[in-house]
Amino acid sequence: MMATDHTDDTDETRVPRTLTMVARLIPAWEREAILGDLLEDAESRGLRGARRTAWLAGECGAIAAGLSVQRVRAWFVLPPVHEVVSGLAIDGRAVLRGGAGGAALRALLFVGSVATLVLGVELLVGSLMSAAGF
Amino acid sequence: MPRTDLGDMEHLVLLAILRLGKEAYGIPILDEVCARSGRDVSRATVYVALKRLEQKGLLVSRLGESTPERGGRAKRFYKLKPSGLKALRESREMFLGLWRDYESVLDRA
Repeated sequence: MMATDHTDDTDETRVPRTLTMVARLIPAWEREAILGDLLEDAESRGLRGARRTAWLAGECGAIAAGLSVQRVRAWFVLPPVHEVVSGLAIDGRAVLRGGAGGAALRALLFVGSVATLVLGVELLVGSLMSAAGF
Repeated sequence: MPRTDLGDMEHLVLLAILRLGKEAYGIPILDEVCARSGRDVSRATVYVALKRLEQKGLLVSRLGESTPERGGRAKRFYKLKPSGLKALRESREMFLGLWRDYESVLDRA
């Protein structure tokens, strides 16, 4: 009996390991549906092998990055960047120079900068640990 | 009650969901947005817009059926809430009013 060349269609529904790690950056309750959408789209595009893996990882990474930024933005009400910069440049310089008020503002800025750095590191570590499966 | 302001992409996504009806999940929403806008919109942009609209309380989502090509993963279908329909209608009225007032200005420019 001749062996038939059988292509197992379910192979293409496998999630590559690279994608599993990247996908962990997507919030858990949205992850499965988004992964399913990407797998369905990859199938409809006829992607196979390394091209499929690269396409899935790229799309998944972009979605994860976008949703992560959206999550962080939701924690703050951010003024437009150009308003912050021009405000600091025009008003900040004079205030920073003078007396007790200037010293207090400089201290606040320093504390705020450190807090922002700490938050950034915490987010990064949390994302990496989540991606590693912890 | 204050009007909910909608961004450009939020408009497109809400209208796409309205048009697609019961089949409004990630892939058809993206295809509809790209087809209607004539732009090559990224998947990430659409998913972020969907997330924002849910956070604003304009959309509701539910998990639907899974299929083999999705690796057994369920689809997430989206539907406009009454607040979402209201936001779209108010936005339409605002833009129609603007165009009524400024169309002649644009024609003269």
